[in-house]
Amino acid sequence: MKKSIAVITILLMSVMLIFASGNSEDQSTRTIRVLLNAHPWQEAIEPLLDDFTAQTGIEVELTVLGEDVYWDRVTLGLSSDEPPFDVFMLSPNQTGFVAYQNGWIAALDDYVGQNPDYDFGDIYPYVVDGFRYPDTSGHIYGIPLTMEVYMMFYRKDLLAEQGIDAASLKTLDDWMEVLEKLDQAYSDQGISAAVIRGQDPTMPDELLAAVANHWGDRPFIPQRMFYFDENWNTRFTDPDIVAGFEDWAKILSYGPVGSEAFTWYDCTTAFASGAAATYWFDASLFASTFEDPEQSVIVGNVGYLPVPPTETGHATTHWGWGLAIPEKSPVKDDAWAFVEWATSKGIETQTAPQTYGPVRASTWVEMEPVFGEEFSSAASEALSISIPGYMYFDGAREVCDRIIDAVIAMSKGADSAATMETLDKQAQEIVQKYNLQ
Amino acid sequence: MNMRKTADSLWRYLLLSLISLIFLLPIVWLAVVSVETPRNAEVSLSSVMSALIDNYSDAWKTGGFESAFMNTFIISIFAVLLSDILGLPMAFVLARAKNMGYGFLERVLFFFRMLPEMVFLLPLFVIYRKIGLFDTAIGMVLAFQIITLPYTVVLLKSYIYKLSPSLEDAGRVDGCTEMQVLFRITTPAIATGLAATSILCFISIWTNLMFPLVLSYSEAQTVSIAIASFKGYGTFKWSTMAAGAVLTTLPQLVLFGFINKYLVAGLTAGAVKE
Amino acid sequence: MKTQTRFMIPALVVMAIVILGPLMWGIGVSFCDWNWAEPNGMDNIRVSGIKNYIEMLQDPLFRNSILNTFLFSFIALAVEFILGMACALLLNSIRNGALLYRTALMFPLMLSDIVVALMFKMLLNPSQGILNRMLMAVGMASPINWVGDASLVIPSLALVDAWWQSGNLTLIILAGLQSIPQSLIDMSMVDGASAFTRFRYIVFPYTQPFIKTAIVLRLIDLMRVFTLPWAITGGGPGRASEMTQVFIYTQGMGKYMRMGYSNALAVTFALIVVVVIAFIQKCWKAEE
Repeated sequence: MKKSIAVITILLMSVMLIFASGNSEDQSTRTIRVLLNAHPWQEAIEPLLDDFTAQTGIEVELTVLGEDVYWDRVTLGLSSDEPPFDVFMLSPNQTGFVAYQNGWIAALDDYVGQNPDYDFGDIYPYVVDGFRYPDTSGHIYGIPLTMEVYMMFYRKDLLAEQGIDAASLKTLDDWMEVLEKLDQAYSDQGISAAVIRGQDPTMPDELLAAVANHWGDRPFIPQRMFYFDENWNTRFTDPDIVAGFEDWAKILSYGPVGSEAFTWYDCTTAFASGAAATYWFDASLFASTFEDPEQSVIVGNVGYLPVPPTETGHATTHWGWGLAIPEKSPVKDDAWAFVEWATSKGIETQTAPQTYGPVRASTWVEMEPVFGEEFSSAASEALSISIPGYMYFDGAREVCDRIIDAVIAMSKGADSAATMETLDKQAQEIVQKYNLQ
Repeated sequence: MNMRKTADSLWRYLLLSLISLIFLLPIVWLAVVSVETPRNAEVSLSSVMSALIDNYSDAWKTGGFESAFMNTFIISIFAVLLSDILGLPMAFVLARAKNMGYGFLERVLFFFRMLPEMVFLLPLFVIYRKIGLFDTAIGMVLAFQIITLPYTVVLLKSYIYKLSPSLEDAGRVDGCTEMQVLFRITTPAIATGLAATSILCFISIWTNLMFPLVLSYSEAQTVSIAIASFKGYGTFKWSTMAAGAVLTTLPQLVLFGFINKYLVAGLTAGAVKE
Repeated sequence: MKTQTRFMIPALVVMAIVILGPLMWGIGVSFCDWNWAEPNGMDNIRVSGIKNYIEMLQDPLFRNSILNTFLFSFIALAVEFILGMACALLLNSIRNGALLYRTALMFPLMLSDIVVALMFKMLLNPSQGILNRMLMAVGMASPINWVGDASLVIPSLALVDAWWQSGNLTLIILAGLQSIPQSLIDMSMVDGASAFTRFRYIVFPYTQPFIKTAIVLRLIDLMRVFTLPWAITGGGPGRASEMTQVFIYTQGMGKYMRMGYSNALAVTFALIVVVVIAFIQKCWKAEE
């Protein structure tokens, strides 16, 4: 009998040995592991990776994940003692904030000045600021690679068909009337008047733009956005915040059937396939999709505008993607070499035509003929009224989840005053739960 | 009378055909989408062929699909082997035991089958983190024992139970040790059952989403995750996604072909009293 | 110790390590505060008694997820049972082509849940999906919002599950039907028994144990549903299709990284599943 146990033990050991030997890698070549979110930038950089290896001798092991699983996987990987990647895409969001709080990501301040040719100053400082957790005085934890400002898109051909001159529409209210008109004209042809994100985990980031558009010049704390004052009192019943939420819910109700569940992916697909007449408060970057004949049937018919102003204000927010390095990466220097290469001026001029959102001032100038005059002027006007929109505090995720619940409920016809009242109470509970006060 | 009978069975065939159609159409649609040509392209045999090649090779190259395919094969095979090696002796004892206490063990195995995966996965995730098994093939192989080991034991037990013990007794009379009885007499006699069990376990690992979602990352990522992460920027093409879905399904289809007969036993393992 | 008993040791040891170990560990952690998203949260674990369980009882989202899960399981089980029974009876009653139809009916069973989920995510898309387009081509006035409408989403997901798993019940019930001795049926034919009598006194008693098995097994898997809501709706719209395992996943790993709380949820949910199944089996036993 002892023999049988011995046999099984040996078998087990040999199984493990096979795996162990399979996992050991040749240490003589320098390799970095790069994790990217499926993104136009990733599509643009992938064919260029061989150049990096040729220049530096560092091999790149690339993993690309769809956004549905990307963020969960980043958090999983960062929290591990041996992160499974050395460079990854990061945004100024909760994942980044949690990683900062736990010391999972490396500060890059010492690296950015090493090479004068890199010209870090060329990168818009306010995009960099998003990666200074928790506020603009912090260290730099990510190097921006694209930025996107939230703007609006409309179908020039459809508006022309209805005899509407977009230039004459001055305010958000004017546009709301147009939506009604478009709805009557096209809804039975399978074209919805508008499309906007619904049940999308990142929707609260864009919603900030809608609220900012009402907020005006009143002060607020950037990391808490408009929703909490300096004493952590909740402000969800503030008329400007309610108005921003109402705008969103109203536009959402003009969306195609099922659009309450739309993520940016569904919205972009709908707009690019000609199923929507307008697309609200979303990323400038999607222009790259709309102007790509492979993915879009509306090439050349898209009008670009910064968000239309309201009576009380005119503002939007922006977002960025950057590259970051895990604190526990064993090859930080090689990882930095990759980051420096990937965010260099030379590479950005090659990726920008696909991202429509370079982060270097010099590239914007250079790209104007590529992006077209209309997009460029709309995007730069949007950037000029853009304020940073982040929520960096414990419990922000829960607040965001409740915000989504509230907007969806309002778009389904729930009374906005009552819904916002409930949301305000829920936010107070979250403040208490996390001892924020 | 005859007329009525024909009409009666015709009605049955019609109904069955209708249900079958409902069951098959979505799959046919998936297959059609996977060979869809890009927008504006003319539809012809050659364009479909080139779309087929494009879409499938796109899918194969997207999101680490290729390596996920290999990972899943390796993890499945070793997990199944381990379950077989560990499960066979236990199933043998359970099938031949006269001790009533073992009935309790079988109930425990069924109890394990009931528990929601999360109750294991959350702790395993933390433990794997600590001991370095996270995102390793060994970690996955061990974790999958949660599913495959009880399943293997229960299934093999039912096959051995149906076997007459007389051959085994004869072997014992000839002086075989218990070990030899098990591996030289019993195991060959249930070889097809063992194969069917292994295939069922293989499929349950191949199709599992939650385990790799929680316990793997990239090194030990499996096809389910590769498929789940297909949706993203740049993959606005349903055709690529459909091609990926068809690709992951092919090995399952082939394997199901082998075990058609054993499927019912596999589905009801552990819940039918014998 | 008898030789034979020792044969079980390797398997029992592995099971103790991979099954009982995590289970006990999870129960332990469920009595602790352990929030990874807090600063240095990973190293900061504190025993907190039944605090997590108290929070859980007051958590409307957990209640919501349990209700969703039960509603989903009930609808899916009902549809699968009716479809499965009907298909099994039909298959058992035809002479030619049974194998062909059987293969067709069990085809969906061969797909993995994630493939089914992605397939129906595309099919059920309200504006682009082929299902609505087909229905509108045959005269439906406006598209149906299958998974975007809070009141429709659970029935829709249940129908997807029914499409996927009805073959499961068909196969098991069919096995039951085929276990009826032909002589019994012949005899009843000679006696001139009506189809109903035959069903009541022969078919039903013989298939009953199979049906019960099938129902219990389906119910276990239905209550543990994860992939369909995770991949098709993400729990939405709002939280209308957030099922318990998805909720636990978001609380634990997905988003909040609250290890203590999510383990408390998982342990409680495991208990709920076990109690429901035990209750059903007890009822059936009492009947016998």
